[in-house]
Amino acid sequence: MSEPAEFLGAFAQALAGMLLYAEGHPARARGIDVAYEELLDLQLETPHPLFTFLGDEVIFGRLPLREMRNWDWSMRLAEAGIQRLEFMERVSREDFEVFLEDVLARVTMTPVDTAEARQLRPTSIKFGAVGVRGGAGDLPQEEALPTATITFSLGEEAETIRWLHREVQEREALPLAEAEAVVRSLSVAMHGDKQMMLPLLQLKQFDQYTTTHSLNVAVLSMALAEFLGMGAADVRAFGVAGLLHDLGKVRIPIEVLTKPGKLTPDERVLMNTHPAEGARIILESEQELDLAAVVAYEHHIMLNGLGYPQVKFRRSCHEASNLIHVCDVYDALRTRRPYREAWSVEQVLPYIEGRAGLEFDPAYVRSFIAMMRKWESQVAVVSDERAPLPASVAAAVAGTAGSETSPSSHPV
Amino acid sequence: MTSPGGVAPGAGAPAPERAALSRELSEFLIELSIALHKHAMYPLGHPSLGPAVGRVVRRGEALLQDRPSLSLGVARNQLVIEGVATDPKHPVLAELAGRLHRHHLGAVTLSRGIEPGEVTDLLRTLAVEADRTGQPLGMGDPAKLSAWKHVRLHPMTYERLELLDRAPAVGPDTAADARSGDEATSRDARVRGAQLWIGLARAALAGQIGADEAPPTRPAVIAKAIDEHAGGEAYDQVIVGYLLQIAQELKAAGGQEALELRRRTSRLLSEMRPDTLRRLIQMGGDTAQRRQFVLDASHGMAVDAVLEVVKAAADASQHAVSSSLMRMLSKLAAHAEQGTTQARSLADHALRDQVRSLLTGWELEDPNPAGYGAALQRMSQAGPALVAPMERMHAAEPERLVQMSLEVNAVGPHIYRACAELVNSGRLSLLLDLLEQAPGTAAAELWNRAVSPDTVRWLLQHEPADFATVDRLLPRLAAQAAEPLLDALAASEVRATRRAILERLVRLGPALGQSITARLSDERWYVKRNLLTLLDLLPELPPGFSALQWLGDSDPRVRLEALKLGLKSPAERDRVIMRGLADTEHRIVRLALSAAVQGVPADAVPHVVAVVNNRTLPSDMRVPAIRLLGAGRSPQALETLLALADGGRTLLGRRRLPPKSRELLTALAALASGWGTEPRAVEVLLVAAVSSDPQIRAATDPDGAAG
Repeated sequence: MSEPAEFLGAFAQALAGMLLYAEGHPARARGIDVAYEELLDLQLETPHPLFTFLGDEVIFGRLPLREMRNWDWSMRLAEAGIQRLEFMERVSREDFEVFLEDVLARVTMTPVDTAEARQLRPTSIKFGAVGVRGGAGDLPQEEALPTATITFSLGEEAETIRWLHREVQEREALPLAEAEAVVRSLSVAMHGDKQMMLPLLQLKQFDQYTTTHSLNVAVLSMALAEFLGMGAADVRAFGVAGLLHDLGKVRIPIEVLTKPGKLTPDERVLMNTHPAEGARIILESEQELDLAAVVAYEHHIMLNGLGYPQVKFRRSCHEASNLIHVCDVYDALRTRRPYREAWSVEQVLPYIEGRAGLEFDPAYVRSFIAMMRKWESQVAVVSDERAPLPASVAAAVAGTAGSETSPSSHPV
Repeated sequence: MTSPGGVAPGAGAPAPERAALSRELSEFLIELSIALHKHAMYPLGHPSLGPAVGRVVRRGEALLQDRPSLSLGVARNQLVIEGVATDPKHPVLAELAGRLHRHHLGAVTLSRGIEPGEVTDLLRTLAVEADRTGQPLGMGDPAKLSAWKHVRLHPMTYERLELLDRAPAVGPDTAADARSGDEATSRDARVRGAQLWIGLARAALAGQIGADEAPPTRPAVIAKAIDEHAGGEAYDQVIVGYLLQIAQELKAAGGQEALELRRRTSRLLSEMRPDTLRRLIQMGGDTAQRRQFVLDASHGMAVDAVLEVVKAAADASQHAVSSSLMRMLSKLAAHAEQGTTQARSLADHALRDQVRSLLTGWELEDPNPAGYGAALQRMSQAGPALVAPMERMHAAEPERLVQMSLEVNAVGPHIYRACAELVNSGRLSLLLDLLEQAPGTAAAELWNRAVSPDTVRWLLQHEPADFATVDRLLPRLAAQAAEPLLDALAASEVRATRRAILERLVRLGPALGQSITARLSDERWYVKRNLLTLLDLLPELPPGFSALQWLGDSDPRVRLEALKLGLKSPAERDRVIMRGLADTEHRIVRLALSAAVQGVPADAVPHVVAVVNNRTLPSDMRVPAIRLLGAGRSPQALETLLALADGGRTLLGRRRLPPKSRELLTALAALASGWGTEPRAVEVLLVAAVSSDPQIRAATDPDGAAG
């Protein structure tokens, strides 16, 4: 068996082991080790191995691997949107494990931990869908959409959120007025034109993730609340809750928050404290933010009770938590990571739909999907928070969702 | 309205803490209005006119003692004096303002040295109704306005204002006004705006221009004048008064004129140095007035002016407004000024809304934990009044908030309110369920707040009282529960509830004694009775307690309980028994008799004898009393017993017994056991011993004395 085939075999074995065994189990670690060693062996001869999975066909570089024809995993990977797999030099063991987990999440539709998966880690593995340059590819192509026109920058909002986080971090004070002002301003941006607009910031620097993500979740939460016909006070409250849902991360050490590699069990435990920390910060503040406190606490709890934190008093999550949970995951998956492109809308929405009833409240999933379908032409991704959006923006091209484009915004 | 001369810089009008019209000014204006009214009613020479003028002059002179001049600004139905507007609903002052306004006068200035003659002439001139003659003074000969030495009338001088020049009344609002036939209102609004601006300009430039000189009206000039003015409370108050008026005017006004006034005001505020605006706002009164000013500003002023005012008001009130917030507000302001049509409206609304929200935050300076206590207090007083309904439909439920608080071990105002809501909605037991399951400091904190004497009071307020929940609170409250329990004991009309409360009070132990004795002065008999009962149930009486005081109570139920208590005290026992035996209430006498079995105090024998001799008393009272006499061996007892056994004599002179009765049998037994050797007793006993009735015979047996 050729080196590439041996690697793919070990790769599939590792994934199977990860499916079977929980984290920490020796068999699981052993499977990953074997696959990693196979990769290193492969890289001795081929420093940049590149696999393409097209249906039942596996292509290594430019050559089909005949021995892997009809390989089960080829189809599964392709269906999960992993049609191209590319390794750079010096793949670390840690990066490899993170990569496997991500692949597994896609293949099995397991929940994505948005607290971790959203980080931009430097990695040497890339994967995703492929398309034919200049023509129709296999990737579900996003249509050129009508122009989204807004004339707002989001710089002040982003800067205010950063300031807000610093205030919480350094002075233990939660400035509600500023949070409200951001939400009001976002609302103006959303309604500043004749039709509804969803201005979403695109992540540029990985350490700005929380800011960007908070802002986007606030926009999406307000949009969904409004889509559901809620009143202005509720929409605003949902916006503030979306804005503050990850507030607890200000108490997570920055080195954990931005760690490029896989979190250790201890680090994961620490990371998983951010919902409780967020709730604590808000509860101990003197502001009228009861809903934000609840959402900060519950936004990682799944509909089936899994997730975290583990609550002492069994109860279902507040509807605001359920609503914002959907928006949170959507934005996290739409965020680009170095080793993979951002999931496209056509990938994220089915993922969310597939998790309805398990992780997400089906009613909110239905509404969210309906909203995105209805308003997709009005989503404007702002890649430069400082730059005001031009009056009209050219439609984006397929396969670049979430990537930086010029001009500074594009519809999704 | 114009205010020529205004208040001279540094004029010593004492600055009132609030921007309210002083009593002296108010009284002067009222006198002026009355005098004017009288001059309109009565012919020259009428006896009531002279005194009216005199009062105006006196009050005017008093005011002008510490001012070189005094100016009244005129609006349609109110006057502005020293920066303070009169109440437009004040009938007398509104009438004065209206009369002056109909004469197209913008201001009246009085100078020091006013004389009755000129005041009389002034009043006669003003008394002529402008509407009737069709010749308002302000539109007539200017010489007429300055015909007096110490009084000057000023016409409405809005011809100086650019805004009127540019206001052909074609804006949508004015068109609408015209359509609705409300042209007069629209015109009034224009005039008011113009007058206010001129008045502000005059006040700002006071001392720099003459009384007859038209003031410059450019915002930059006015701002510079205010900036450069040395201040002085009176000066600042006048300026603030005009700003307040303008803010109020803008709140209601519309149309091109309002837009112009809004622009001018914005320009003025932006031209002014920040510390000047702060100084003015500080001068503008207390926190509430400042807040109102900012609110008015947020309603009507241009957004950039709102920002300036917010900044200054925040500084003046020691409320920090972060640069981030200012950045966001500025952004909203920018959108409100320059955005798309839709964005402008939204941003404008959002900005003003945000300012209002900010001001609400200032109001809540002390989000006090005591608020929870206050909520409970309200509950205890007013029953389960619900917390104010939530504006939002999707607010977090109080139960969820408390659960979360316990899980993350953190508390704050939200949680205190959530607890209050749970208690208020009758779910205290749910709250206790949660707290009992959660260790931690948050739970301890909430326990302290949830479990208070007020909580117990509230639980016992309604029937049926929730004793199950009360019992969960008592172990934590211990002695603190005494007062609410005692309150409930006093208030409850249900016997079962009182009994249940007594049981719980008894559990609190002797420490309760002092609380009880402190309440025994209550006038209500049942309260005293219950408290005495409670004392009786306690394992020991409070130190120094004496029941004797309540043995003299007018209500026998109280006396009965007092007797029971008094019998517990060895030192008072004899006195208590005596008081009991002397009582008119049978139950009390019976109890005293029972108690005396242990030993009749010597002084009590007459009371016992009185009972025995009172043949109206039932047998079950007299018999024990007879027994007591037998046990006492006193001469008075012997005489009484002999009298009881004395049935007189037969025709043959032989002693005989009275008809058989329980009293007789008991008396015979008493004589047999106590006086078996006493000759008179023996004589009686011998008669009894030969009686044909076996019971009577048996009663004479000293060892088996009947009775």
